[in-house]
Amino acid sequence: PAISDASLHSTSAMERLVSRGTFPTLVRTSACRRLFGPVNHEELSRELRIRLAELNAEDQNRWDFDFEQDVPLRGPGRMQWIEVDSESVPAFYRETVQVGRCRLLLAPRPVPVAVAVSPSPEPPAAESLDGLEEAPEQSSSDPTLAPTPPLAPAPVLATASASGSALAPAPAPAPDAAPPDSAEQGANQAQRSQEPLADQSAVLAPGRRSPSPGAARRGKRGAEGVKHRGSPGGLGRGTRPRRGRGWHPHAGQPAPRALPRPPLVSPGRPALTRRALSSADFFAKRKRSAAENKSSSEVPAGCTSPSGATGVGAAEQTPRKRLR
Amino acid sequence: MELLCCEVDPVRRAVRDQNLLQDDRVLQNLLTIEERYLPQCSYFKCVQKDIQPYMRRMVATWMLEVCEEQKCEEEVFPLAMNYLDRFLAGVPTPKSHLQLLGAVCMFLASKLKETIPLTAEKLCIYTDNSIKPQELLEWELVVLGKLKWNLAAVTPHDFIEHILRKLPQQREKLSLIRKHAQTFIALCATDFKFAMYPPSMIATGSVGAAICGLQQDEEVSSLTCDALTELLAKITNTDVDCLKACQEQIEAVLLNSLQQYRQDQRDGSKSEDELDQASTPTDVRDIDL
Repeated sequence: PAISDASLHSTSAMERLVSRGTFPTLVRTSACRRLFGPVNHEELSRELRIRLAELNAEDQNRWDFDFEQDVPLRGPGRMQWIEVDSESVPAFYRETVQVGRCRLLLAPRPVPVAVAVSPSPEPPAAESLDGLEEAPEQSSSDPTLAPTPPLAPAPVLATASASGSALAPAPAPAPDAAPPDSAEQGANQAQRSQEPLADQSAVLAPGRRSPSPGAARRGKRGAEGVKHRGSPGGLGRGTRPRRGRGWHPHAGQPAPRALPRPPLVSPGRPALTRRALSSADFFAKRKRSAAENKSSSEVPAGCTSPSGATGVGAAEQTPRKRLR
Repeated sequence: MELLCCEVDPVRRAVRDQNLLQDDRVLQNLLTIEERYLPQCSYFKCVQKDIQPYMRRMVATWMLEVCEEQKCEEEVFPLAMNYLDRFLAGVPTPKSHLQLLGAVCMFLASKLKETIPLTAEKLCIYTDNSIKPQELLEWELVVLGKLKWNLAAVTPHDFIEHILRKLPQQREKLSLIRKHAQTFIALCATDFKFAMYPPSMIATGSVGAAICGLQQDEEVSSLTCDALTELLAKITNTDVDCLKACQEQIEAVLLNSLQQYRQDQRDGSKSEDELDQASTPTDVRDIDL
C-alpha cells in the first residue's frame, strides 16, 4: 500500500502541477459569478469591430500601410516603403506557412519591387506610452501623428528617386543582393496589386538596397505587430501563414515611436490568420530623406513644418513619385 | 516517501537577482519610468459614462479573488488592474463589458508574469460563463492595441525588494513585512484612490504601514514610525508628507476592509469557507491594529 499511496500522492501533486493549465473541472466557488448581469454578445462583437477598426486606422496612419490589403497606402505620407526581392533577405524574414507542426518556407518568387519609407519627425519620446489620453472615439488618426507631418519638398525627392539616389540616406544600407533585372518583374507584380507601386518600382530598381538586418528586424516587428490587429480572432490551427510578405519600414534612424510594440505576449494572442498569402516576400525600407532630415532638425519632434503640405502635393503629381 | 518531492511548489521562479537588486541604477530607472504607466486621467469624470467607481471596486474584488484562488503571483493582480485602469482611461466601456475586460487584463498579466498562466477557459468559468473564451481572445487584442503593447508596467511590487534592502530590519522579520506589504499593495489596487499614485509611493507606503502595524505587537524595527517614514521617503525620493498621507490612506483602507470583513462575518450569510476565499486580502486578519 505504501507504494500505491506514494504514487497516488505524486499523481495528485502532478495534477496540481498541471492544474493551472489543464485542470478540466474547476471547483465552483463564490468567485465564479457574473458581476453586471447578462452580457449582450451581439453588442460585444459590434463593439469589438469598432475598436479593431480604430486600431487598424491608427496603425494605417502610423505606418502609411494598408494592413488589410497588405500594401502601402498611396501617398503622400510619412513613409516610403521599399519592396525587395525575397531572396535578398535571410530566410528568417521570408514567408512561411505552418502545416501542423512544420513550418515551410514558401518558395520565393523573384518579385522585387521597392518602396521606401521616410518617417516624419517622430513625436517626443516622453509621450505617454499608452496614448490613451486621446479622445477615445477618435478613430481616424493618432493625434500625435496628425496632421500629416512634413515631407520633403517634392522636387528633391523626385529627382532623387529618378536617379536612384533617394536610397542614399538609408543609414545602414547593405549591398544590394537582388538581381537588377528583377525590377521589371517587380513592377508587374506591383501593377497587379496596386497601381502606384508600378512607378515606385520603376524608380527604385537601380538603387535598391537591403537594410541592415537589425533595421529589418525592427521593421518586421512593426509589420507583424500591426498585422495581428488587422486579422483578429483567427485561431486557425492547420495551415497558417506566419509572415506575410515583408514590407518593411526601414528603421535605420532612431525614432522612438517607430519601434512598434513588440509582441510581448504571444501565446494567447490570436494566431496570425491572413486571408491569403501574398505571392512575394518584400522588404520595406524606411528612411529619412535628406530634405526631411533637415526639417526634422529644425522642427522639434512632433511638430509639423508648414512647408510640408505643398511639397507633398507636388510630389503626387510627379509621375515617378516615390512618396505617396 | 521520497516522491513527496513533488509536493514542493511546482511553479518555477527565478531567484532574486542580487545584481539587479543591489544596483541603485535599477531603482532609479524604475523611478524614472514608473509614471509612464499611470492611467492618463481620472476616467470616471472624463471618459466613462456608464461605469461608476463602485463598479471598479466590484470587478477589482472579483479579480483579486480569482487571483488568490488560482494562486497567481502577487504581481498579477496589481498589474492587471494597471491594464484595466489604462484601458478605461482611454476607452469608454459599458458596464456589461467590465467583467470581460477584467478577465482579459488578468489573462494578459498572468501571461506576462507567470510560468503557468491562467487559461482563457478558466477565466471564462470565473465569469460564470457570461463570456466565451473566443471573446476573451478577441478582446485581448483590443486591450493590447489600446495599451500599445506596453505590458511591462512598473508595479509597486517592483520596489519592495529595493526598499526592504535599505531598511535596518532583522532578517527574520523581513518575510512577514514583505507579506504584509504585498497585502497592502493588493488592497490599494482595489481602491481607485490609489490608481493615480506612482507605484513607488504605494510600495513605500505599504512597507511603512506593514512595519508600523507589526511594530505594535513586537519590536520589528529599531526605528520609530516617524523616523521610518523619513527613511522610506528618502529611499524612493518621495515627499515625506505625501508619503505620510499615503500611508494613512492605506491604513484607512485596511480598517475599512476589516470592518467590512467583520460585517460579513456578523451577517453570517456566507459560510466560513466562502469567506476565506472571498475576503479581500486573506491575511488581513493577521494584522493587528
